[in-house]
Amino acid sequence: MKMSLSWAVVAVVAGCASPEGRGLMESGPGTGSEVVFDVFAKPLPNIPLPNDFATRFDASSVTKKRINASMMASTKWERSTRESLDQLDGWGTYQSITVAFKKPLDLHNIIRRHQGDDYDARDDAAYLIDISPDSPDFCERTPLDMGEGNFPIVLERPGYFDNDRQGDQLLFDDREEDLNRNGKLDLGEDLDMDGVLDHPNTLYPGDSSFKALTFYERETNTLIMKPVMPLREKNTYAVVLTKRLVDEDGRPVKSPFAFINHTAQTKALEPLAQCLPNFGLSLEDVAFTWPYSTQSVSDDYVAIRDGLYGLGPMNRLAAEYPAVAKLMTLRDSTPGSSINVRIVSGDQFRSAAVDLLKQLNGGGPLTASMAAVAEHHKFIDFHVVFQFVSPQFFPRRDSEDKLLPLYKQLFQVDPVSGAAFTRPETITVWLTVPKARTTGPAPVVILGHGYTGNKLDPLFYGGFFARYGLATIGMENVSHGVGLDKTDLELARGLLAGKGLGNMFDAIAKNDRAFDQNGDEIKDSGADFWTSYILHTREVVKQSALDYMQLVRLLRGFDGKTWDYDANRDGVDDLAGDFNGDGVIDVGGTAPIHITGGSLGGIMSAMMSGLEPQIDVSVPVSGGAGLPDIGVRSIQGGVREAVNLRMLGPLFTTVRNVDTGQLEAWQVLPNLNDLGRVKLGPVNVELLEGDTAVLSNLTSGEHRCARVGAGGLLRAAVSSDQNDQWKLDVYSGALPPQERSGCAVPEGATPYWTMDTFALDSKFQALEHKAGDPLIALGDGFGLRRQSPEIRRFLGLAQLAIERGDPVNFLPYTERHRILRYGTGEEVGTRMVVVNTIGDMNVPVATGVSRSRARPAWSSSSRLTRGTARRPTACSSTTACSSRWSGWGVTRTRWAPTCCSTWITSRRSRATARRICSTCRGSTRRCGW
Amino acid sequence: MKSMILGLALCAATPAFAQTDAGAPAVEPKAANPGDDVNPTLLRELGPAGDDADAGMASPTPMQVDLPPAAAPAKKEEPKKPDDPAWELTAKLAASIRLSYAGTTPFPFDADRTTSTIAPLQTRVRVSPEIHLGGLGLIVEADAATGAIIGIPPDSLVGDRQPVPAIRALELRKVYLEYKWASGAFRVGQQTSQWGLGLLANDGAQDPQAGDFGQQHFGNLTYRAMLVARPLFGKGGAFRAFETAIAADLIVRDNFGEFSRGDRAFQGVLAVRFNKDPENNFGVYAVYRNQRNIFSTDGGRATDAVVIDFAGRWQFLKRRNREFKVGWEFVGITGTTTQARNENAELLKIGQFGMAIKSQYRIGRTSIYLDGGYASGDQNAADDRVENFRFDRDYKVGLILFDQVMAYQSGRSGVRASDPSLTGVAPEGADLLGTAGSITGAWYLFPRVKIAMSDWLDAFGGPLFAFGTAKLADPFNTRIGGGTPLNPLGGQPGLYLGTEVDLGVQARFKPIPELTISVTAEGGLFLPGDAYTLPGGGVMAPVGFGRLRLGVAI
Repeated sequence: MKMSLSWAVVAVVAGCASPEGRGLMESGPGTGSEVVFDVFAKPLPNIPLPNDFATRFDASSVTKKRINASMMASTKWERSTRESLDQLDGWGTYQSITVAFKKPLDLHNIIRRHQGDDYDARDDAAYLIDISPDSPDFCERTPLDMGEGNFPIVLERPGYFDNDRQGDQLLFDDREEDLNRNGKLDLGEDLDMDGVLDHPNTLYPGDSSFKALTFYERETNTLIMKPVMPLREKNTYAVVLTKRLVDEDGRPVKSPFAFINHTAQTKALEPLAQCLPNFGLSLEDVAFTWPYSTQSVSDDYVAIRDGLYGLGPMNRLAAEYPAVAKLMTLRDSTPGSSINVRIVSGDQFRSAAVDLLKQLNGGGPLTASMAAVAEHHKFIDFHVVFQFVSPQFFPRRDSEDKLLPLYKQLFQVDPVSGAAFTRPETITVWLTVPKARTTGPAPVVILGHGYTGNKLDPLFYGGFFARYGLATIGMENVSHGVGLDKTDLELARGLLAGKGLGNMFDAIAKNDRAFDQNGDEIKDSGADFWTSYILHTREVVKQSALDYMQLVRLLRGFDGKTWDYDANRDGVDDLAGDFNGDGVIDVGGTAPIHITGGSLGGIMSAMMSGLEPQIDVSVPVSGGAGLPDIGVRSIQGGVREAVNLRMLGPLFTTVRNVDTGQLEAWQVLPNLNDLGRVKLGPVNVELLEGDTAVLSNLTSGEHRCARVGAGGLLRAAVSSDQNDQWKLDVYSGALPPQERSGCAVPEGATPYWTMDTFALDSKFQALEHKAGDPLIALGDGFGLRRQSPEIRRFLGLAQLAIERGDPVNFLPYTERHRILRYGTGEEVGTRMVVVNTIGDMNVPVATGVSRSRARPAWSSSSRLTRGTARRPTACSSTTACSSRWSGWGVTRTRWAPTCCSTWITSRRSRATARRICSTCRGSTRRCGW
Repeated sequence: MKSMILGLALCAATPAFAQTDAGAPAVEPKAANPGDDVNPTLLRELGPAGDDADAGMASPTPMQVDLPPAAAPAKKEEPKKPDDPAWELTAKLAASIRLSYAGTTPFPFDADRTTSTIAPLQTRVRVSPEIHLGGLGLIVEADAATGAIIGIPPDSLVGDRQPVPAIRALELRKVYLEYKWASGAFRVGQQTSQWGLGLLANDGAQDPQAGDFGQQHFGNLTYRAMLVARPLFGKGGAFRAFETAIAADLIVRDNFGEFSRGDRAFQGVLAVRFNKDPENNFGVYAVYRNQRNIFSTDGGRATDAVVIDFAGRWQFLKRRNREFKVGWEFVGITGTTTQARNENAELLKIGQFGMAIKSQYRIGRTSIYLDGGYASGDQNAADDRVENFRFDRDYKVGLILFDQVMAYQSGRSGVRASDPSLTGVAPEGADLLGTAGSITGAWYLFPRVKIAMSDWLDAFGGPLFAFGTAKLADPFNTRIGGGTPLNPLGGQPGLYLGTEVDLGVQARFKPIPELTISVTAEGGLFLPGDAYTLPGGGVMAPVGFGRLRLGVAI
């Protein structure tokens, strides 16, 4: 009180005001291209992003920040997504950095400074610098990719559904629209109907789209910079644009403000003055700078895992979800028999395995590889199927038991307070136990299945691992299951039932996590896993990781104490983990736990390598990191539909019937993760090339325009929620261009063809639509224009949204490059070997390399304390470290550069690439992991 | 965003200089009880509502402190002991009606030149019944049909902190019990609050009289328990004028908190005053305020502050044809708040200063006024300090700059900062940006002349010169413009707010002694200064205003 009174007196006497806000330095005069800072731009502000300017203070956030974007949007899906994004406590750790300018930049200058120099920072035009004083990487920079090839965009399959423009990439324009070269968008020139005069996004006019610029968008003069490795979570970085960044006239770019930064960000940016000298810079050299803080990515995992172990704010989980295995009956029980019905011997199963493999092989003789699979089953001692309950943290259904839309199926977890929605889900596990066990439990390998796969992997790999004394576990990720049709299921069951293993078949095949998601009474394995419902995709990845954590907890619970199971029927309960009742724990306990898997399994095993401290070794195969980078290029069946078609659609298309020649109207949209095509009716008029189609969403009031192509083919899309009412109008000739919607419909203009009802009876996802019913969108979709800034922005936001479910963020925790510590005191220290697949376009190999690169090997503060990984002495440059090191792994085994796969994606330094690849080829032992 | 000032209200009060009827004869203190019937004193001032129909009537203002002339008597006569309270039942009823219509010429609210018609038609019916049983009293005051029926901009345009509130069917201002005894009194219940000139605590009970401009709309209301006394009256002489008050408050409504919106603002008040008589007194009061909001779960909207307020008035010259008197109030506020947390501060420091001086020199029928004031400003909404002092919104200076232009432009800024098409969640404190007519970030001089044309007719007017104590920084424009101050119109502000010329005329009629009717016409023209620079050069166009007000009091 005394102090307060003193202050009051001072205030009374002085009453002085603080000075107005000031930046780090005045921006000074200049006429160079100015940074665009337009908060009024729609649909999103056009400001440098990520940027703490677009956050708000929130005391309940661990970073004290929340993203603060407008929640207004035309569709429920987008509104809901925006609401969820606004709950993020920071920006993406692997998100592209974008900044638009009022005038074009000198791209050759950028290329000269940022390409082909092994990421030498000395003459860079832009920097990304860690400015958190308490960060281990304080004042260090993260290299930025500006066309170095780390993030290729070229497609293997350019076509995306009906009447597609077939560009070689999805993001940037590749067509010259200024046909008369007058520099203006004349009527009829707007081929993609985006209301903007487009030019190919290439360095030189005439370059093929394979040479599309990836670091600059000409349409918006936007510089696109991507960190080559994930940033630290809950950390603050400064993006620094130096005066070396110049416009086409050679003039340095300019701050939009009186200072080189927003004055509200001066305090956050103050450490920059200390950091810049590290790069030979001073504030005088800075044209513009802004800070951004990264979100928390591991907090949910830490809180939940701690809770499973009885610690922290979610400690109730330990009691609510005990790690208890329920062993399934696999063999028929005979009264009075002492047969252990909970296990099936490997030898007994082996013949059934041969039959199963034959059936899967089409009924013919086994191929050599399949024969090897079957042969290796002789190394398996016995099979076990057990179940456990894992807490699920997102709701599936609403209070009326109706399936929630996927954009509502999101985690409801507060890692600070511990408040969380949970529901139990039973997970079934297939365990193979090797004969080659010593006196203790066998090490176990968790096999991660691929997208739409299931827990049957031990059938294929169990024998091989058993040969080396390793047990295997097959377990399904969220919503995955045995997606065989009824006939195959019956056949398979018959095969096993004939050998007395009907119960085993039932235990494995009838207990899975898949469910019917579209009302056709067939389980849809993994249909909601990779989708454009990006936040839901994040959640299913997170949930799958947490399920693995519960499994690990269960395995560690096989600790020699008795459990409620008498395997050998001696009247005494056996030891937990002793399935065959020989008094020895078979798996688990203190034995090592490893994880591997391909594709989705590769992604999940990479996740777990950075998250689960009890996992010893991880070998992710053919996986990737930077999930939107996968989605944008993947040719994986299901991904193109569930991810890309939902971004681009739903589509209204006209297609000529190959039999009748009749032009027909169709709606093209995802049927979960398949392609859905619904015929709407015939087109009874002649649509002429160059005419304009306007697809209106009558529910939202939005419209989008499309140009009728040759033969009357058209393709239109507008952002829609399922059941939004549609109307398509076709007008003669071109309509005046208008940004965003593509065209403006002049008052009084009359369409010569309109379709606003179904013209035919149709059915989609169990819902029937009668002819004459109002035309509706049959599914959700953002209706984004292909090769446009809006899809580029969407993918940037997708990375922001998915960070907590993207393995790229957890890989730095492997081998303790960064430290992830749990309340139990455990630290993640998994040793990892990354196996990439050159040429893989299901999970593009560049994203596999991203996985490897995510471990910040070159960081001076990297903590290689365990000695399990050693930096190669030849790793003298950033490129060498970031790329060559990407394939280095478990040094106590051997190292395996995947350099060739890295360099195949790089368009520069091919000589260097060849040299390194040559090294690869010359040391096959080292490469032959 | 952090445009909140802490209005810590309370206490016994001295009315604004021009709000009182001049020339009230000094009365020697004869009673120890400030609320004695013979000598209306401190307690009484805290009590019943006066007639605020805006005629310059002699009826006491609600919070007026007509203290006994304690210092004057040199004869040291013993004060008469008050008679024992007669346990007789008495009742009083006062009522007034106010009707006004005003109009402002259009002016831009923001950089997009958004504007709206401002032509409020206002009504107010005020009823003030009292019942007394000896020293025990029940005092009530309520307004009905109070506010603007039509003519104010929608909340969606300028927010709900407007200088003229929308009409409310009923508003209870006072319901309290009091008990008076020989040397003090105790009062408990909902009360209005005023201190000094009303910079901080202003009961909003009386519109400015002839010579001043403006119209009050709000008033600070508080649930209060208060004990007041003249503990040294028995010592005689100047000691008789020594008054003390101690009170505990839960704020119902003031500049910075509203109970109905979840604000729970508790105040502890200690006041000491030397009160020679109603024209000669000075004092100090100190307030500790602790404010939380029950809807905030993360520690937001919380304030802890200390206020020290020196206020007084003195009549330096009093002759038949000449008078000179001065009133003053100096306020300092310090403390912390989480009302407008931002990226740079989780806890903001409050350091504010405000002052006002009012003086009047009367020669015969002509009075010359010179008013001045200072309210500290804050030109950096993104730092960790809240420095913009806000006068109470019922403290009126002029007609246009503070009560119209600043009020609506600041309200518009709050709305723009909260625009859902730009942000998902409004920045903290955006809802407090509207000044509702408060003076903030400015200093001013307001010389005026009043001529009593006759006993019932006054004409008055003068120029208001206003300057910024900080640059006129519109929080929204400043934020989107890089953080350097930009005014509400998007231009770079200077410190000269502008000059306003106000003129008025007031006529009063008393057809019967119990009835007073007044008619006031006032108008002005505001010539903006360089604080209102436009982005493309030049300054905002002049703004005109006019108002006609009818008051009837019984």
